[in-house]
Amino acid sequence: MQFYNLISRDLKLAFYSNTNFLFAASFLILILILIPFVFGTNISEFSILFTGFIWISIALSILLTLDRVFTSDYEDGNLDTIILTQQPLELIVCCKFISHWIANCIPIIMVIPIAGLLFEVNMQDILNIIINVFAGSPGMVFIGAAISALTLGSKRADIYKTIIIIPLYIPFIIFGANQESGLVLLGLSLIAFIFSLFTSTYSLRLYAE
Amino acid sequence: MSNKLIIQNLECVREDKIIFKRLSCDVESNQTMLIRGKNGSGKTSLLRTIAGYISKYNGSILFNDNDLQVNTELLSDFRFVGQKNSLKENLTVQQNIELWQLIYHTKNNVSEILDLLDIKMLLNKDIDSLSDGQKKLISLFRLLISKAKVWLLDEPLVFLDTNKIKLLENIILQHNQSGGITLYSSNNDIDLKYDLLINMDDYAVL
Amino acid sequence: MYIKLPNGIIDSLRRRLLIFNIATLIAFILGLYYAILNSPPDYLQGDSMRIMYVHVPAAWLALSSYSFLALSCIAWFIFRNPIFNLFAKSIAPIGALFTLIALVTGSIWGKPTWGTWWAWDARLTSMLILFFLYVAYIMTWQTIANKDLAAKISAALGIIGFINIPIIKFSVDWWNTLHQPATISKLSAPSIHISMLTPLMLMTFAYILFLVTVFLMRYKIETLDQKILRVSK
Repeated sequence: MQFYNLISRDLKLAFYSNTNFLFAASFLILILILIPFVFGTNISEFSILFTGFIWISIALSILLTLDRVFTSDYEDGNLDTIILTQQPLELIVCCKFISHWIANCIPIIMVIPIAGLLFEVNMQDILNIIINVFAGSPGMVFIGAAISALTLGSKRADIYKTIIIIPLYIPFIIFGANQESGLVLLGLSLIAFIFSLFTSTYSLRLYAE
Repeated sequence: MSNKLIIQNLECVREDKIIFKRLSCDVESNQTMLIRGKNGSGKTSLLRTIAGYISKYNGSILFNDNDLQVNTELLSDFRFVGQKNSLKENLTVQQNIELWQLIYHTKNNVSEILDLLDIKMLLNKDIDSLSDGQKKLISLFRLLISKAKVWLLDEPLVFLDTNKIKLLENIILQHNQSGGITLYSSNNDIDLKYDLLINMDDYAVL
Repeated sequence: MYIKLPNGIIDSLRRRLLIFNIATLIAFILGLYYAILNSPPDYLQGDSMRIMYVHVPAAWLALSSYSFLALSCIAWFIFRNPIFNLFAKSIAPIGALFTLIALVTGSIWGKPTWGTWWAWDARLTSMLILFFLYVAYIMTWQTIANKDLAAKISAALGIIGFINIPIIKFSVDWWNTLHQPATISKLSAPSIHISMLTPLMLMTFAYILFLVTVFLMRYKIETLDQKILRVSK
């Protein structure tokens, strides 16, 4: 029961915080709008770039909103409050992962079909892309959250997080661009989940002291 | 309903440095204990250790004759309110209260608490438009949102004016009379009424 | 198992730091003399080949430094003796510098030879990754607030990054790359002429002296930093 409560708490937070909820989706749309200006108006060639841009914007939107996972709660004392309710740390971490994924990736998934229409990508390809995003984006969220938990107390961690996270995202982006690799992405996400769960609970335990 | 908190020979280590050792005291129901000490003397560490936030320590803390290191589920009867307010600055008071209700897993009727703290007119104001004293008062909301037997307050009097201090005293009185225990730390000359006193200097390690 | 700090050895070496400095200077002067003036130009590339004498030793030592770093991290994991962290922290900036030199000189060499400043082939990309590994290692210590956690993360980083070393070493054998295959290996006589081998070996020796000198200086700094950290607590 507390599982759903913690997730709804984070989702409510994202929803109430003005337009944070729409940040990820609008990120994707803005990038896609800029493409015709960069490449000229020959739309038919964009289909190849389309997948790449979607994955890049997923990676960037997760990176830019990482503060919301642990850092902002750590700084205003909410993380203390949550940990002191004596729920198992693994549960708290899982809820954070899931709510961050929902707040970031669900809007992107909802925008992909619309964007596909803008770029004349056919339905089959869009479906493939959505399946891949469903399989791979959780892994990216997990990794981002874990690295964010590792650098919890420090002020100058932004560059560091980027340097560590981007290389870890490379497998996801490589397989994401490939059409038939849904299962590989799912496997990567599961590995990322285990790694991130272990790392985040370990970090939180250290920072709780 | 009577509760008893016994601390025996508590020793706290932060970052490889012993902050205090051989701290012992007993607190019973309907008692308030003041923890006094200079900055850095370990007041917060003591409260956080009792609250269960710091899980590795030497010595023992017994709550109703149960060792807290063994029976950690008892810690859910402890409520710790720290110096950080645990408030989201960009949200309204109402929204923050809703978030706390979800964290503490309770749908209790909050309007009584609102009346008690006298903050009904602040409900729809953004947190960052409030004064520090009002923020502190709202952060005390966490104490009342669900029943807890032991209250651990870290420097609760900071920023509070005389009216709010009286309010806090009343709240603590009600809590203690129903069997609760209160421990709080303070650095200033103003103190709430207390029954027991601990001076951190007595247990400091130089 | 507790390995005693070799501070005695290192202190005695540091007392001779001036000698090390002078030796390094002499070695570089000698090496550069041979490289620029006393060795023949390449029959194809002409004089632009001479940059090899700066590029190759830098690359060799960049790899060796990382191997040393990774070994120190493994030793730290096994023995938990803080001296291994000091070793790794001391060697990291030196290795980063050498990698950067290798990348930049390689790029400058590549322009006249291959016609491009950069190519995304296996060896160049993995050398770039090596550079980022060094940077990430250094930054771990600076950004993570909890020093115990920083030790563990940086050690894990050092060890996991070690997989890059065989990739760099054998990338020119495994994949068809732009970069030329290895000319000097331990198992057979080098297929390079003595007149080019001499400056190469001299420069390598000079780089090694440089590494040792700077390592000794950095080790002292890292030990002092550690002491300051302890005292300030």
